[in-house]
Amino acid sequence: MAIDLAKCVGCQACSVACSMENTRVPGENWHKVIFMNEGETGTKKFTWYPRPCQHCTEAPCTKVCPVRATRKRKEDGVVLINWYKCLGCRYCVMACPYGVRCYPEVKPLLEPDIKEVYHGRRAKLWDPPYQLSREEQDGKRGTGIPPKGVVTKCTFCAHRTDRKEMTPDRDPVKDRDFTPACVIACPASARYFGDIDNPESEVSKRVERKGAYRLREELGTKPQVFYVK
Amino acid sequence: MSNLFKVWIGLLALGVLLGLYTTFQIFTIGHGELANTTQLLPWGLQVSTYIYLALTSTGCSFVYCLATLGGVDKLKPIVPRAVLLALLTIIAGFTSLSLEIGRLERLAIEFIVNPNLTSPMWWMGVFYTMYIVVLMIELAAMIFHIEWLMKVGSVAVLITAIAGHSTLGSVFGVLEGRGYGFGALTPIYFLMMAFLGGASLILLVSCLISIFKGSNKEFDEAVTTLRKVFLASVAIAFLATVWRYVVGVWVSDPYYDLFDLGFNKFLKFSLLLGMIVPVLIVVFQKKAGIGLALAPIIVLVVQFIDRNTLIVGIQKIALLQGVWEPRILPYTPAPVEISVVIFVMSIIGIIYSIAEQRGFLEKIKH
Repeated sequence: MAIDLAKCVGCQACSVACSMENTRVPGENWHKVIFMNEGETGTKKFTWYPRPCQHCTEAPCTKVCPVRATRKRKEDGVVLINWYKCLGCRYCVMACPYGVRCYPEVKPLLEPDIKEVYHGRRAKLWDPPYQLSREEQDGKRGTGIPPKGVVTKCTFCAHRTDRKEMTPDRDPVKDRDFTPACVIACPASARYFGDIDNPESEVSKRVERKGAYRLREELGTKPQVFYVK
Repeated sequence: MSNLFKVWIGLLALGVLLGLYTTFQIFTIGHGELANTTQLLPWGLQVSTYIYLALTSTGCSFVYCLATLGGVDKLKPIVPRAVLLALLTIIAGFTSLSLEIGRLERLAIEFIVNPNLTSPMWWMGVFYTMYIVVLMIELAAMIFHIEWLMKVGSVAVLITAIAGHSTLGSVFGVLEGRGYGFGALTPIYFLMMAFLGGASLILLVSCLISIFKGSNKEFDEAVTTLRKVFLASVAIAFLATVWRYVVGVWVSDPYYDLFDLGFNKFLKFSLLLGMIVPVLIVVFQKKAGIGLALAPIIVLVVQFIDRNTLIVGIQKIALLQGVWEPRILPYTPAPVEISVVIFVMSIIGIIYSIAEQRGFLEKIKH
């Protein structure tokens, strides 16, 4: 994924789209837009940083998970959590340098607790009226409503992207049903989703042409989310 | 059985009952709903208590190995006590940790079926399981007085204690994104601090035995040697703590800022109160008694708070915090977390007190 910071207006549409698409509880932010200031007084620069899971090439979360519940998919490099294996030890939350992992079973951010309003059945954390279809909910990929006591995170909307074979790009209009919700929702078209390894893809072209960097590159995690300057 | 002992056991029993009620709540309501841990601060008081107790357990094993492998014969009277305390503290520590895990029922199966050899936590589980088994065998060997097994067991206790506890250090040492705990020296730091915890607990227990049971020549000699062991353990811990802090303060990475922010507390609390004052007490109090017992009590309390400061501190500086987010994340333990700590401490207290009162530990040949 590439995010053009010059286009991002910090409207948070991507965060809202993510929460609605994936039915997250309040406070369980799979996607945040962080407002950061950089530099010294007088030359301060304010920047919006949309921050999904970075799906690192050298993902610390996959290395530390004691039971391999978090793993990296070989075919596309997406990092996913298997909710049927996850112990809820939260070591991956500690290991992630980007703070993208969530543990939804914490004290509610808002009252009344939405999890109490829509009680979960069959060990589910909660049971909201609007959620992904049964086919799209997949505990092995970490999509949909999680069971109690597991870690959750952004999946690059695997339930949508997996429905179509790998292509260089996902056009937010033509491939609407196969593109991550945050990419579709961006009113400024600041986000690009595609195959970074394919030189013909829009993502790699933009990164090549405009130059890009990644968050906390000094750690060597090699994130797959590029911030175009 | 004296009235004072009955009151003591009664209080501990209340602690256990409170813990059982808390455990029931955790399994019915959910730990996350009750604890004050958050999305950004996932590990709280229970994890730091686990670290503290694991550290104390390892320290007890070190003192025990000093007597058996190190040839410090004067420590022989405390040998069975050290093994029992090592076993109780590690089991209590794991109880505290287990009650924080989201899906406890999967723990044993997944650890065996899906091992991740790159995970320090997986190795920690393996080494500590071995450590607990070895301690149990060692205790059994003492009870049945199987000499060859005791000798082999002592070596195994030392190896598994070092392996387990240094791996526990590596659990935090590999967290490259969190400066307060990251580093190759964290496993070594954990080992150096472990010796202090164990030496303090055994010195405290020895003082209490002298107070309540009366002393004898053999035991007095053990306490005299324990004072030296305690002073050595403080010196090692002092060195480890000071250098860790000096490096931490020197580094300008924002994720190390907590070293700067907590510097005053570190000087006054961790060093002055937690190490220098106990050393002075031990230097001037030569006889086992209430005065001498004060030194390990101070150390154990300060170490408990320091462990919490370390584990919570690792998470306190928010990752990629935005302008409107707090730079330092707040955390205060919830009643449920405090109850679990009381629970596990009560387990140690009640089992050890009964074993001591019944004379079970004096019957063991060593």
